[in-house]
Amino acid sequence: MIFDATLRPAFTALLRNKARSMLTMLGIVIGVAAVIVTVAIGTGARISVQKSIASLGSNLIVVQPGSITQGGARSGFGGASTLTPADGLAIAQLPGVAAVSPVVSLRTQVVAGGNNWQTFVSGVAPTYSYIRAWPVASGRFFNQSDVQAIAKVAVLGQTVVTQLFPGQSSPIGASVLIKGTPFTVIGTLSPLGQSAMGQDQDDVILIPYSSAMERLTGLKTVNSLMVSSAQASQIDEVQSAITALLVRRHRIVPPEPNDFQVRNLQAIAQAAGSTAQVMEVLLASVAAVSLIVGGIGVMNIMLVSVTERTREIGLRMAVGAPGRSILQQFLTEAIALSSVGGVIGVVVGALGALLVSVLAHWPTQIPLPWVALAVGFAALVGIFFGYYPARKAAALNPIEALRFE
Amino acid sequence: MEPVVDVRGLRKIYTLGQEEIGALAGVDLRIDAEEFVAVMGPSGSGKSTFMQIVGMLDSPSSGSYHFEGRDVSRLTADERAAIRSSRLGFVFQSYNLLARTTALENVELPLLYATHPVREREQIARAQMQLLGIEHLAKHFSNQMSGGQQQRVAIARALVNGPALILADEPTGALDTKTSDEVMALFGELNRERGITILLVTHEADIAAYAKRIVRFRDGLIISDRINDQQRAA
Ligand SMILES: Nc1ncnc2c1ncn2[C@@H]1O[C@H](COP(=O)(O)OP(=O)(O)OP(=O)(O)O)[C@@H](O)[C@H]1O
Ligand SMILES: [Mg+2]
Repeated sequence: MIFDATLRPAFTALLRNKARSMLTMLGIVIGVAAVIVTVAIGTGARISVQKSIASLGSNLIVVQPGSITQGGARSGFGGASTLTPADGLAIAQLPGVAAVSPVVSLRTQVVAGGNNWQTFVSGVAPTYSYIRAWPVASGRFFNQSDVQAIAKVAVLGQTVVTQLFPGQSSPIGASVLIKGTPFTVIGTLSPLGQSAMGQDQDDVILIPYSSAMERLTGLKTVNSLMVSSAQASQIDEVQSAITALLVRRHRIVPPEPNDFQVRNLQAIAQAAGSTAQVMEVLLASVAAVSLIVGGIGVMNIMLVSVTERTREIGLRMAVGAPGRSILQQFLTEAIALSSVGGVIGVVVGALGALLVSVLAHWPTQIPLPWVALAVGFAALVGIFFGYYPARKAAALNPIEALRFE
Repeated sequence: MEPVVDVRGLRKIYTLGQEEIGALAGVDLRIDAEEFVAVMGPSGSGKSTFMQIVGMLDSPSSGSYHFEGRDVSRLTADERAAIRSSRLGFVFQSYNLLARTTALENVELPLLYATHPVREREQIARAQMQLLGIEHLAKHFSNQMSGGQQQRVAIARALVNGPALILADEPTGALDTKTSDEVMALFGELNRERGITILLVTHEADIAAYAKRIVRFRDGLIISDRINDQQRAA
């Protein structure tokens, strides 16, 4: 009975003014769609960051130079250059450590034949292939004797292969000029694809770290040390063992700060994830503001509707409609407008998210709680902004309403 | 038996800014069940004001009103709405059918606010239209009917809840003589055959002649109240 006296007249009225109902809903649709798209992009990014960091291995530990204090001014992390391959060798002796690789990285122009390409050159140890679980696709990875010999050998990522040797069956045996030094290609890496940050991980050349230090940077230090612990469960113990070892090796006397920093990738993933989430909530709140603007549109149309239907309201009262019933009818109309708008908004938002992932290759994911939240919020907007016009309708004097032209 | 309407010393004063307009200046009237009363009087004499108070759409400034023995001034707005829904039926000069709505849906309207199961509603409305011989208009929209047809639909709507009292303020005001006579004949029949009490406002003596009793208003007062011994039947 209540259903019939409120829902039916409400939907009949909305269907009677289809164009107007649509336009009014548009505000809500845009608001909800904006929330859904932002959240989908944010969540997708966060999840794929976490996934790809996790795929690097939950037992991966990265040692980076810490900040240094020079004349009272502290540089940021990485400001100190104190890590050496010898540190790496010492860490490799610690219990629970499976493998260690120094990493020396630089970005430079490389040349092969008539082609040249700007890429990342990483000086690493033979263990790097194991640590990153990154096997060669053809040829071989360099070995310990290559490192000792400071050999001019290189393993190319797939992107570098296609850029430097387009149309050639195999680059193995060819020569690549890195900063004027010719390196012989001994292998190619299997493709990894994009990283979570959208970086092409295959755009890289790996060479022995000794060669990178001697022939390219000329430095005695490395950019970081990658450590793989034997078991993921031991990661905390291994981390503190590394810290204790490096404090001793670098002769750091408390209260002096450490000149290095030991982090495991899970912690980094979590930090990246929570930063992304803060951004996501922030953006979604901005989008939610447009929902409120949509709500004002609903209120506007409801006020027009009440005025237009003054005679109808008067008549309904004359035939026995209690004020409450009139209030419910108009409130239902406002809620129907905004929640139908909300549902359409979810669909539009989902399509938008799909478009983003197809066109921009950005991973998106729509979390269900947010869908419920967005539709619920839209309905709430309807109640809030529909109440005043509905109240106004219910408070009409039936005689004046019937006389209204 | 309780009178349907019993008003004593009914006054209504409208305030327009500084000015006070006395629309009703002390009306006493008792209408029993199965009466057919016509209210006449010059323009501005308070007829519509009286009908609105009797119809519980407005309240008097002073005086008492009992409907079927209940003191209306003691009822809440919802209780008055419930009485309008179940015991009263309104017929207006301008029909007041809902626009872009079929005749059947218009007749069903009062049932929305009464306790009728959904399935029964259409049946009841159709039966009512059949009684008035207008079932063929069921699917017509308001703007697809003549004035006389619209007023018949409005009368069906007023009757659909089985009211005790029909209030009709100039129901033939917008109709030609022939149609007016048909509508009045219908009122006479409802009164005679179904025992429905009718209170009707008109300016025309021809129309008032259908009633059993004629009450005349002037300046917010009843100046005459007599039995019509030449009641027209058709
Ligand atoms: N809402 C109102 N505000 C102020 N004055 C009003 C209002 N309604 C009616 N009046 C006044 O009350 C008096 C009685 O009006 P009412 O409508 O009852 O007359 P009536 O007898 O129905 O007249 P008519 O035959 O023209 O319909 C008139 O002087 C009118 O101007
Ligand atoms: Mg009048």
